[in-house]
Amino acid sequence: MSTTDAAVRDDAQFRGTHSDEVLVEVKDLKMFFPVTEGVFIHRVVAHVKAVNGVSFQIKKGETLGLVGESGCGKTTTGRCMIQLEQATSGEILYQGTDLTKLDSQEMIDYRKKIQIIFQDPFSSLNPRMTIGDIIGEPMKVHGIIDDPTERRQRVLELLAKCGLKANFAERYPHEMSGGQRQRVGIARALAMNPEFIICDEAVSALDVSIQAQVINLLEDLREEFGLTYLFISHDLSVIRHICHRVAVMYLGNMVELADCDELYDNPLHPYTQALLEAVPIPDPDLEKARAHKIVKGEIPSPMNPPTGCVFHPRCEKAVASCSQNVPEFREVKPGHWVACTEV
Amino acid sequence: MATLLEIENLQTHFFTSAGVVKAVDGVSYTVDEGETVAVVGESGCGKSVTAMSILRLIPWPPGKIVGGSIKFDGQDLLQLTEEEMRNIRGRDIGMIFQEPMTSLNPVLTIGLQLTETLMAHTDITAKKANERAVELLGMVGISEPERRLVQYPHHLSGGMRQRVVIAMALSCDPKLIIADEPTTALDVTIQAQILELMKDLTKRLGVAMIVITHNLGVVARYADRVNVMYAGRIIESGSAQDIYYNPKHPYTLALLKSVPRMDQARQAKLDPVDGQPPDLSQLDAGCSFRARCRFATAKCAQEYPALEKVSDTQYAACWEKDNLEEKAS
Ligand SMILES: Nc1ncnc2c1ncn2[C@@H]1O[C@H](COP(=O)(O)OP(=O)(O)O)[C@@H](O)[C@H]1O
Ligand SMILES: Nc1ncnc2c1ncn2[C@@H]1O[C@H](COP(=O)(O)OP(=O)(O)O)[C@@H](O)[C@H]1O
Ligand code: SF4
Ligand SMILES: [Mg+2]
Ligand SMILES: [Mg+2]
Repeated sequence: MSTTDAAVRDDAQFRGTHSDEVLVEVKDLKMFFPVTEGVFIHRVVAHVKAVNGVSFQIKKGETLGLVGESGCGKTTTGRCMIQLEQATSGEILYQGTDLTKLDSQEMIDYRKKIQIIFQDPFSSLNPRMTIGDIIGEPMKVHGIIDDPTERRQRVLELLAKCGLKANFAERYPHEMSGGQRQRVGIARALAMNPEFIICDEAVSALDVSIQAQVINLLEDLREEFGLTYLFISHDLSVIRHICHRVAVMYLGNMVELADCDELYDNPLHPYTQALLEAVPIPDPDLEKARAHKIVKGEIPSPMNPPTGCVFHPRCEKAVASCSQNVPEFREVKPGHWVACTEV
Repeated sequence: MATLLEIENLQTHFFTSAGVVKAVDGVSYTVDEGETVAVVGESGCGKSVTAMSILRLIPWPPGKIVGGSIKFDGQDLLQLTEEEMRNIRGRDIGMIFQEPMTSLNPVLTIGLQLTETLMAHTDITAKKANERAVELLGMVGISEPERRLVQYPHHLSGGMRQRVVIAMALSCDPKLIIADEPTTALDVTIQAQILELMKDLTKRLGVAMIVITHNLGVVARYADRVNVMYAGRIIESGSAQDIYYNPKHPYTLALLKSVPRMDQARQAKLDPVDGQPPDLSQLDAGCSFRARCRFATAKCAQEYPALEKVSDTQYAACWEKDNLEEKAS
């Protein structure tokens, strides 16, 4: 079998795994953090508009990418989706149920179905627990497997699934490398038999060869267990590789959303275009041939975002109305959404 | 072009309770006047320790340069007194680190820090130093430079601070800049601004630069020549074209197969090497990559392969360097 055959097969498998059924829908999500002043009486003097009206859907079995530069609201969006943050307004519909309306008792079930994997696996692993307990405890607490022998068996199975040897069960987090700890984080998430996993910069801290191993692991697991991912990352190359559809955020707003290849081959929003131009590609001849048009300025404060289109102060295509009118997030072609009046 | 820097068989070890960490163990490379050379490799492979060795900033204990020579502009830096070395650092060799606050003092104004560097290394009056500081800030793209002089680092964004560091690094007309992960902490649009600025300025002023990075895209865009490091050694070196289009070391090959490409539609799963880099205190006589290498033979366990010429511009340290294509198919 030639490598191209394998590639075609992988590609078909990769693209064929998601359905049209919507698993999660986020509607007009807003998360404003109050900024307070004063020592005894905290007076709210301003708000950080971390997420300012974001809407999207995730279909069962797909990987939706959420990309944008730091501070644009990716993590906050993810945290609101599992109710780690109480949204200011908006709906989080999980198979039709609005999670923002549930009390903590009603949320328990969803806390199993929805898991999150963080960038820094170390800070999320208890240093005094063995890896076996880190993976096994939540199964006990959530009553997923009550029998200790069976639970132990499941831990070993999960370690193997995540490419870790059985003797890791007896080790502690500090005895492991960054890549191994991230595998533990993934095993712990899988222990809950989740349907939906939010990966927040899950591979961003890893070196390229280790990063590629973990990316492959996440893809294998998605296929094997029919998982759905929200894949949050600032790394546009990783996002292109792993996602079916991609949403681009800027300063708390969603500026573009499209199928992965469509977004990269035919970006419409000036910010998406600027982002893609900024990423250097590991190909020296191609880099020589590329025009390096570089977007000016820096990202403004989310405490006092620009009026109108939030990107207008840095935008090459901006016209007078851009500083006044908030552009509507509209579908310009089937499945391709963009928030810019000049498209 | 004449050779500006020549590192030969540099060895920097750390003597720790857990054993001797051979962080840099026989590194040799050169930098010509005015060229940009990249050092690329995954974390812990010895990139920063090599840079700190050039600057003679290895903390003892536990670290020590135990062998080799570093010839810069005709003199061996390893033979200089600390006093002589201080004059070279910041004057002939400028430094830019990942975290701008490594180079900036939080309690001093931007202006004071720039003028102090200038006055320490050159015969210049305070007034002239001030004018030069304004000029430098303008050169690195900082608006209203006069106003910035009286500001403190915390008034500036991360990208702006890195611009100030670049201004400081260039202030005394250095011959060489060492930039260790200069944009790793920055967002991608700011990274592009800073890298483009560094490229323009070094080309315009004819300053040579060593760019240390783990980002293969950055290397492809900015480097004339590339050194790939693994486990304390350079395992391959060549022009950017050599390294990306005709790699001769299995590790370089594996690295290139591990990076997802943003410019191409997904075709297949990534094809990374298994395992992880070795513990630098446990290295044996063989090739340090062999546990992860799909080309390894019995010989690889016995002797470390020297960095040998494969073409006029390219060198690789691998016993199987001439058989890779044949074996890969
Ligand atoms: N708990 C909080 N209190 C106040 N501001 C916050 C809080 N969490 C996040 N923010 C702010 O919200 C904005 C979005 O942050 P975040 O969602 O973490 O962005 P990203 O993950 O895209 O880097 C940032 O300006 C951040 O400083
Ligand atoms: N002060 C130190 N004590 C012990 N080991 C050190 C010290 N500094 C660096 N090392 C070791 O030297 C090796 C190379 O480190 P470094 O040059 O910082 O790697 P990188 O390529 O990521 O820049 C690492 O294995 C690191 O653990
Ligand atoms: S020397 Fe041997 S083990 Fe080392 S890279 Fe070459 S083939 Fe692989
Ligand atoms: Mg984040
Ligand atoms: Mg380093």
